[in-house]
Amino acid sequence: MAAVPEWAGALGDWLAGPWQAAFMLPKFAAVAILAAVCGVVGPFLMLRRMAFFGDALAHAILPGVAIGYYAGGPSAGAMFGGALGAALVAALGISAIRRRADVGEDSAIGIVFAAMFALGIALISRRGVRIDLSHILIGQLLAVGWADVLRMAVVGGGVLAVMALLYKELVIASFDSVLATTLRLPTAKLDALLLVLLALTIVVGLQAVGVVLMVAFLITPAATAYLVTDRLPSMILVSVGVAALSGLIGLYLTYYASIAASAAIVLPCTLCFGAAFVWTGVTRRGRGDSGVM
Amino acid sequence: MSTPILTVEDLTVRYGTRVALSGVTLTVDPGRRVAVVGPNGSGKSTFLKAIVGLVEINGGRITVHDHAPGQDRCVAYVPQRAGLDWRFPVTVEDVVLMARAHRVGWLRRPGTADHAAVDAALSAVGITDLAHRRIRDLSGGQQQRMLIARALAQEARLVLMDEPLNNLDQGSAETIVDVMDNLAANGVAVLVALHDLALAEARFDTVLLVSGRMIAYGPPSEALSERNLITAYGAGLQVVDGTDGRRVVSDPGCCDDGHAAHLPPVVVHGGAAGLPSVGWTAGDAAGLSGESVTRGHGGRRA
Repeated sequence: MAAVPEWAGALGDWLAGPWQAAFMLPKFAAVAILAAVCGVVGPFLMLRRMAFFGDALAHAILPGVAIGYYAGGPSAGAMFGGALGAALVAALGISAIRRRADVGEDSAIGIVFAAMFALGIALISRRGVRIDLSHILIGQLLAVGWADVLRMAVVGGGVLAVMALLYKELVIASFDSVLATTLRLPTAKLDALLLVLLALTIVVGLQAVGVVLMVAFLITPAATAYLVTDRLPSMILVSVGVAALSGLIGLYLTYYASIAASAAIVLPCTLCFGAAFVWTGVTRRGRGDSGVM
Repeated sequence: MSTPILTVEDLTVRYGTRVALSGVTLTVDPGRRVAVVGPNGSGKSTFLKAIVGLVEINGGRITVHDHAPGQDRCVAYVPQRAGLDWRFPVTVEDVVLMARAHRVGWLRRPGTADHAAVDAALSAVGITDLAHRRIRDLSGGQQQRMLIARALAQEARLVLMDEPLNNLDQGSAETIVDVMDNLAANGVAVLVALHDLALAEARFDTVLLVSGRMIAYGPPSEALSERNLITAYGAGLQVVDGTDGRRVVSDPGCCDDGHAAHLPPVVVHGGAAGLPSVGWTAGDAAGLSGESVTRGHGGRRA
């Protein structure tokens, strides 16, 4: 057997580096959970053109974090609980607004959720409050420990279980609400459920990715998968794969280049999307397909 | 007399304060083919949506199989194609299988019977070979056949189709009319919103003529009388008796704004036996083909 070239050995050491650091292991676990949940929920968000909802919901969680802090002190658990509560309130609020929006759905969301975000900043910016706003806005993956991973696994696992059990109904409600109505599926409840699942997903990602970049991690892997697949199940699989790969690359970037983890995770997603966009553009032109849908 | 599958009593539907449809009273027996015709915005779609429970009823009563609207799963509704997201990543088979959801039940996956029903439905409309095609890649006629297959897979007793023949090629249109005949032969009642009055007369047992309210309901020859057509389509309509049949002429100059989309359709009642239908309108002079006048009304995307 030939000797391993020197560069291959060095590459091996480089790749193994983060895995040999014990403090990095919960980060890998966190990214894996986040990729699975975002990769599954993201395609529904994208196909239903609800990206703005995702962004609004992520911002609306902020006052919950602050209230968690006021109630339970500066523990990650208390703030996670606060975010969970705010996410549920926001998701149910949004589904109420959707049904009765005199000023237009998007305006109503913009008004209510920007207000919640402002309330969150107000609560956090008070003197004596020891929450670093930037940690919530852009995440703090390097602070994630095993206790955080456990919380993420419980909530994320719950989201995945519900998605798996109600997949058939959620697809029908997403594709054709008229059919859902004629089949007497509870369309409004399914829509509200999807928002709740989205809110829970955002809470799962809050610590790792933060509020601001959450929507990118939900939409970009889904959009990438949409370009290169033909059916929803394969779209979901590829979406999870792109999210996981980007998360992995992001962790290496964070470990070696000390880049903020949320940015290091999102930018590889964007690269994947760019590659898929160019590739499908080239192949489509090769087939003589105008690409106009 | 069999028990009606559909009973409508003095139906009124309003959108806000505007009355979209009123005064509809009728019964439909199993196995009947009913054409729902009238000008654009006359309430054809509204009528179908009311039956299936997609719009609220503001007056009167609809009973399907002894149930209120939206309470009976034995109703299949074929929507206008423009209302669907054709970029959604699903195949033809996926979409047709969706109609089985209520038979499959919550938390369960489709079984052999469901897949068999899907195969039968695809075969009935002649698109078995498209089963694994992504819906984005379908032609208009294929899209419509898929939606009809979905209604078939639902195994409904009452099938409602909202302008299924708009902008279709001749082959697809004929397939769809044949499928409708098959359904009727198997005791399924079919209600079809249409623009093509000649087709309504030729292939349907009964015609419902509406124009914001019910104008007539009965056999085509009675429902599409001169008097009724002029009532429904307005004073811009003239009926001319010619040697080769009866010509219905619309003058766009009499309409509100003269747009082609507001032109009423052309109909020619059969003259001498076997003579092909001939239609013309004043719109022809403006460069509109007869085809675009008879079939082109609802084709624009919603």
